[in-house]
Amino acid sequence: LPPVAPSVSPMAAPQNPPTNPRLATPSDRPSASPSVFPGPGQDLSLRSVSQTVRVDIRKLDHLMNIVGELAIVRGRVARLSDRVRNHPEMHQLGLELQRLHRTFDRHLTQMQNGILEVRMVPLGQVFEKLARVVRQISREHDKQVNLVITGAETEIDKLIVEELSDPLMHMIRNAIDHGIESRDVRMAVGKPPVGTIALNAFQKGNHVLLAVEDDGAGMRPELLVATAVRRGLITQEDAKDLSLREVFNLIFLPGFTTKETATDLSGRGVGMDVVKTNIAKLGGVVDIMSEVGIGTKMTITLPITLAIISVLGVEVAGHSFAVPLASVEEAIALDESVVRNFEGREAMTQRGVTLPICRLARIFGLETGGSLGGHPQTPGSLGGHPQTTGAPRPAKPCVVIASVGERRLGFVVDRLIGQEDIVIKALGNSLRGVRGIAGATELGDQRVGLVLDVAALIEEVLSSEKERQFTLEGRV
Amino acid sequence: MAALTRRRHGGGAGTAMRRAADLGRRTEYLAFSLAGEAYAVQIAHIAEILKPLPITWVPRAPKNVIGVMSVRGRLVTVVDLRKRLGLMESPADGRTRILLSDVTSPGLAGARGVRPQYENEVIGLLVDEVMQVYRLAESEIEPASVLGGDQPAHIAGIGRPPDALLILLDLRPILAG
Repeated sequence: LPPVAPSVSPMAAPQNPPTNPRLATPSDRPSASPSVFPGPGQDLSLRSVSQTVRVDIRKLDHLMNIVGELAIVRGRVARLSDRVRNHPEMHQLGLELQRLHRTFDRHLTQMQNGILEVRMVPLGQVFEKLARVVRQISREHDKQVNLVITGAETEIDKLIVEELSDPLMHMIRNAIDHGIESRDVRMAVGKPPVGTIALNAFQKGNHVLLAVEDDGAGMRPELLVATAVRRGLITQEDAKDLSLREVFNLIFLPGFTTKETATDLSGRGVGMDVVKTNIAKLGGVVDIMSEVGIGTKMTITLPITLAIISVLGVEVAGHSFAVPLASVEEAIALDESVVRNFEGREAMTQRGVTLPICRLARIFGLETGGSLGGHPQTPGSLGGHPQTTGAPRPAKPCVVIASVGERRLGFVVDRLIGQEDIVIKALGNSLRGVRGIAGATELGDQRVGLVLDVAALIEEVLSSEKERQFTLEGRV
Repeated sequence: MAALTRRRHGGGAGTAMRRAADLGRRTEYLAFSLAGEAYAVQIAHIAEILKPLPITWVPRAPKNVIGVMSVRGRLVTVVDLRKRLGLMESPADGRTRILLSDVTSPGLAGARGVRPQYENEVIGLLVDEVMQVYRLAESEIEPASVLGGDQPAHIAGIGRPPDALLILLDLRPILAG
C-alpha cells in the first residue's frame, strides 16, 4: 500500500484558479453579490420573524421557469433590435429598442438573482438538528464528544439542505461510533478525553464545501482492504493496485462494514453507500482523508444551487452539450502529440501534472466510423441538430478540464461554443437510468441542450477497472 | 346496424341518442397510423397532438427513446412508437405527429399497472399520421384474445367501428416498459 499522503487536508491543497479569464467563475452569483432585497437589518427581532413567509418550493420553480422563458424572449428581442438597428431607415428606432432591451435585461437579471436568493437558506438549520443528535448519541454511548460548528451561515439551496440532513447525520454517527475512541483509549494515547467532531462549511466559487472531521482513531487502510476482500466486495487481485483514495472509497461499497455485529448506531453495511448516492443525486461528491491515530475528514462538495447554472457549451460529433462552469477549470486546445496511452486509457501532461482525458464522443458512442454506429440518429426532418445539416465546420478539438472535489479529468470535445446561463431541468423519469446527463435546458430556438453530469462522468471514467493503476500513477 | 349508422350521419339528435342507447356506453379513441396499420388509444390518455419539434438525441437512452424536446418549457421524452412495438421504421414526413400522453390524466392516474415512476411525466409518442377520433361502443370492441392466445399486454383489443379496423393500444404497459 502506498504511504499515507502527507497532505491530509484537501482544503489546504492549493486549488487551481480558473486560468482562462473567459471561464472565470461569474461573480453574479446571488450569494456572492449583496442582497437584492432590502434586508431586515441587523436586529432579528420578533417582528422580522413574523414577516417571513413559508412558500412551496414548486412555486419558486415555477417562477424560475418563467424567468427562463423571459430570458429566451430577451435573446430574441436582442436579435430583433440588432436587425432593426442595422436597417437604414429604422436606425433611431433600433437604438431606442436597444436601450429598452438593456433595461429589461438588467431587471430580469435582478429578478433571477432575487428568486435564487429566496431559495437559499443557511446551513445552520441542518447543523442545529445535528447538534441535538450528537448530544443524544454521546450520552447514550458514553463517549464524550464536542461538536464544533463553523460556517453555519453559509447559504445553500433549500432543496439541497433538505436532502443533506440524512447523509450528514449518518456521517456524524459514523464518526462517533467508528472514529472517536472510548475515553480510556483516548487517555491512553494521550488525546484529550473528550473527542471533537468539527463540522465546517464554507463557500468556494459556485460550490459549498462541507467537512466532517473527527479526531478519532482514523481508518487503517490495510484493515479496509482486508475487510472488503473478506466480504467478497473486491478480489485479492483488485486489492493489490488500489490507490489510497480508492482504499478509503471502499467504505462506499454497498455491504461494507468493519463491524462484526450491528449496533443501533452502525454496522449494517448500508449507510455510506447511501450517503454517497444521495450526495451524488445533488450533484456533489464525497472525498475522504484519514490518518491512523489522528482522525478522519470527509468533505462533501456541493453545488450552491440546483436552479440556475452557468455552462460552457461544447460540441461533440455534431451534438451540443453543456458543461457546468462550476466544475470547469479551464479549456485548452488539444495537442494530440502529448496524449499518452496507459492500458487503453488516455492521459496528457498539463503543466507538469498528469491529466487523465476522456473523449466524450467515445463514451457517448458518437464516434464517426466507429463500430458503435447505428445509434438512433434523429430521423429525417426531426433531425435534432441544425449543425449536423449544414456543411461541417472544421473541428477544433479542445480539452475541457473539469474537476469535482479532488478529481480532475479532461473532456475532449470537437469545439467550444460559448458560455451561457441556463435554467436546468431534470430529465423525465423515463430517462432516469441515463448516466452522465444531469439534465437539460431550453435553448433560444426551441431546441433542448443536454447538461453533462460532470461528477458522474468523472466518477465513471476514473473508477473503471483499467483506470486503477493509472490513477495511482497520476497521484503519486 | 348499417342503417342505424347511415341515419346517424344524416339524421337528427334523436336518432343518434337512440343509437347511443342501443349500443351502451361509449369511449372516445384517437386513431393514428403506424407503419401502415391503424392503431388507436383512449383519447383521455392523450393530452395534445403536436407537429414535430426539434428533438435532442440523448446519449445512452433506451433504444425506443428518440430524445427529448421542449413543449412550452416542459421537457418531454419522445418515444418512437413504431420501434416500441417492433414495427418497420420509416422516415418522418409532413404527416408525422407527436402525441403527448399524460399518464397523470384521469384515465391513467389511479390505474393499476402504472409504474409510480411514470407519474407526472409527459411522454411524447411519435406516430406516422393522426387519423380521426372514433367513439366506440363497448359492443364495437373485441377483446385481444380474438387474435389468438398470447397477445402482448399493450394490445387492449380490436376496435370495429363501421368503416375501419383499429388495434387498440393500452398505453400503460407501453410507457412502463
